Amino acid sequence: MLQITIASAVALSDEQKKKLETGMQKKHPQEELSFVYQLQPQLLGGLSVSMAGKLYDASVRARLNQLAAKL
Amino acid sequence: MEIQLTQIIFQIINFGVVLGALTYFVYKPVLKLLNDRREKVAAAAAAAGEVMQEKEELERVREKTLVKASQKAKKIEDDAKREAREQAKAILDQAKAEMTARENKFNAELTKMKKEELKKNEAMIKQAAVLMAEKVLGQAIDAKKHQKLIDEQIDQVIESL
Repeated sequence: MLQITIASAVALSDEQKKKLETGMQKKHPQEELSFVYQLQPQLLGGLSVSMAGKLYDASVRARLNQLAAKL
Repeated sequence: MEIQLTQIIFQIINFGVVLGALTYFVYKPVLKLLNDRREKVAAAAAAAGEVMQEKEELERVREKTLVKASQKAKKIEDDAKREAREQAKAILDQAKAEMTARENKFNAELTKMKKEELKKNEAMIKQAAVLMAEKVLGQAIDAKKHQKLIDEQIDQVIESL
């Protein structure tokens, strides 16, 4: 079973969760996916999703960190 | 009065004898004495002349020696002055070089400190800027905007993972 962890600053709506889960399942039809939702206000906004060692961090926090690194 | 020839002759002979005796016993010794004295005086004068010459020669030698000694003393003095000047210059140059080295070291340390301070300040400014942005964003993003942001990112997440 492949675990996908979704962290966000605010809770996802049911529609958003469904859209995400459906999309991921279509992309990985062979895999059995499990979704874990975490509330992390420190992200400030957006999503941070990790799956099998890969991370997609589009949170506002991540962008701020990138900005700080560039300064 | 009759002149008696024999007496005259006798007187003449007497006179001659006396003259002869005087010449032999008095005149010649006295003459010899006077000559000896004259010779002694001449010798003494000659010796005095030699002494005077020697004295003049010594005087010349003394003058020459004095001049040489004076020249030598002057040379020693000049050499000592020159050496003292050179030593003073060397000490001064060394002191200047040390001062320059210390100044350079101080300037380098000052520049380093300034850079470090600048770096610290930069870091603080960055941190402050990020904190400010964090605060502003935290207040600026309302519930609607959050949801909109998540909606936009869901497709990207699916595409990326």
